[in-house]
Amino acid sequence: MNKTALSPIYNSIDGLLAWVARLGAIAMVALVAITMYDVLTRYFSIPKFPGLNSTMVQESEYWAHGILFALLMGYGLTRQVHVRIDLVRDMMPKKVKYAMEIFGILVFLVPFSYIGLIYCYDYAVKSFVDGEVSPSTIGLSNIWILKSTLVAMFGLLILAGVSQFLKAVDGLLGNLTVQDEEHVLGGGH
Amino acid sequence: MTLVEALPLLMFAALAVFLFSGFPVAFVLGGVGLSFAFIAILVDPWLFDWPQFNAIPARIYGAISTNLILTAIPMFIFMGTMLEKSGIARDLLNCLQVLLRRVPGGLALSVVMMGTILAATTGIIGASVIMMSLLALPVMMKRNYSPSLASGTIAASGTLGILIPPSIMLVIMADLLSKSVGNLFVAAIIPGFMLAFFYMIYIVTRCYFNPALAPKPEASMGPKTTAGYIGMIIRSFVPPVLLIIMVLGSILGGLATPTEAASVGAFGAILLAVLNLIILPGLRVPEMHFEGEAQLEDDKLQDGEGLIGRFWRIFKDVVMRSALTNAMIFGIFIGATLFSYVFRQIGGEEVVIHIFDSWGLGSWGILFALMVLVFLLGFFFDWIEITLIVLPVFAPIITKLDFGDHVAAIDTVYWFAILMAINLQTSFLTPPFGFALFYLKAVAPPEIKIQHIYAGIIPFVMLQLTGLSLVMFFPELALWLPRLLLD
Repeated sequence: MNKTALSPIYNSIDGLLAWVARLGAIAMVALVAITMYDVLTRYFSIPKFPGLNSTMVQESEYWAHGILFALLMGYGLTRQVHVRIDLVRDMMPKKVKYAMEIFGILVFLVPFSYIGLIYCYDYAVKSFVDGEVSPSTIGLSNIWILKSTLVAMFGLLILAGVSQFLKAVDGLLGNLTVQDEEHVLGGGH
Repeated sequence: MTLVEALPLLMFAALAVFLFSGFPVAFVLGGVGLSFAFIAILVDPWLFDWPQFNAIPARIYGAISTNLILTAIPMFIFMGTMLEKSGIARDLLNCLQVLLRRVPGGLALSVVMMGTILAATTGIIGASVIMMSLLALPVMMKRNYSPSLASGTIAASGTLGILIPPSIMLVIMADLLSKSVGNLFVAAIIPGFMLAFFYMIYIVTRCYFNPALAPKPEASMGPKTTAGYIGMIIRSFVPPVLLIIMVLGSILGGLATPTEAASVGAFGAILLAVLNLIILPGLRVPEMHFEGEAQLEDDKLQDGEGLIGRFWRIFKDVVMRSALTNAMIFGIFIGATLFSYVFRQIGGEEVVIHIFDSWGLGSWGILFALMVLVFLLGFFFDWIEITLIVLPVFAPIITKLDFGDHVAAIDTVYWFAILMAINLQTSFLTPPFGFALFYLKAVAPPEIKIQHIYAGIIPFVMLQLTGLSLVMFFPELALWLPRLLLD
């Protein structure tokens, strides 16, 4: 990206999001490995590790997925993977596109993520205080960790929103190169 | 009508307007949902009030975070991406086109077959049509195929994956309608293969009577010896087909849940990639190359890269890509969760039911109305948005549909889901809006004009409509196999 007054801020945010996303992507490998392990122990009578029952294994599968989508959501925004409907927007001049992007971030993304963040935070804290365990008593304990992934997800989305907001401001000021614009506005699906 | 009564309708209208702002769909859904929650708080706190926001974390957690069925989605995406990026999809296409070189329209048939076999790869319309176009279109053009036939075949085959299991869309539909994914997969098999079969009959017939549409390659294309042939089939055809049979077979046989089958698919795809990228080259098994092969070379060795290094690079790329695609889907899931929660809280469900009742449509009328609605939405949105917005809102109506003797009550929802899937696929293909066509145009060589694409797709749209009517009037096409296998 071009060097501007704002770019050090959004570049460091993006760096952080990318790092968290790489961490989260490990959950994809874990998900396949755990489910595969579940299949092998269930259908091919391969013995389980002692102390590990299949409820725990199955719950680990959705734990892995919970981590996976939560930690990649914000990074996805900076990578423009979230689907946009461009039909109308494509007819607008560039400045309008940036203005609409700023509007969307301030009116849709940030309030949505903020409300999500504070209510999920209470939700996770309550789980922690209650020492909540899996509804099937032989499952995993420390449910608050899984609930906290939602807090992380909304927090990361706000961070990504800040980064995209600053980039859009740079775009509005005409500080971005054509290549950079794709990272801010996306294009196609 | 008071403001309170009009609120749900305004909410839908606002959604429609802001979706076209080009801001990511996931956050438009969440943002519009939230804005209307605020408006409702201002207008009438009986309608919506702050404590009700407490239900949102519980809903996301309950319906998404702890949903074991949905974990199949990232694994199916992973499987498809792996088969694509490790060159297995390309090798399969090359092998098919060698095997079918004497058949009229052989290359087009290979494309249909690849779309059918690798339906998992083709779950997300944009990605799959682009992949199929990049892979097959240059080869077809080099072979002097009619641009219309080539582009029509690719668009139709690239979208077939939303219907043929393991389809990610069917996983989500089953989840939203609280039905069994396995049953829905089985129900989709006959309609899906029937459509693929229609495509093939159309291609062979047309190319038989007009060979100029699809010039045949030299008969000598491909391996020169019988051993070479067998080698090619064992190497390029058998592994992916075996993998898909394992994945589908375990679901069909009622052995494994879709989640378990997805992990087998994902793990199998990794094994195939190891075979293709490390073991075979390590044993110095020569790669297959011939004149006119499809090329898409993410798996090309880069400078100074070893076999293991290449596998690791592709593996990491596939993990990150599929994780991002998964985040995109679940972003919409979460936005739609908030939207439909607020919509329901402010009385949207009653309004929708009331409107449908006031039209006095009856079950068939409602079915047709919903099909038209979904078809029109398909001009602008991918199935992810459509299923996640439409199904939660209309689910109470859908589950109440009653077709008397035509469809047994317990099967109605499965039948409806299959009709909706075929309908959506048709919508993606229908000019002038069908957006599979835009994706194709975006990556097609410049000599392919949008007129070629429109002309080429129309016969396929006709085939789709035939298929749709058949399933509509003969529900057994969708319902017979699940009863046979799973009861």
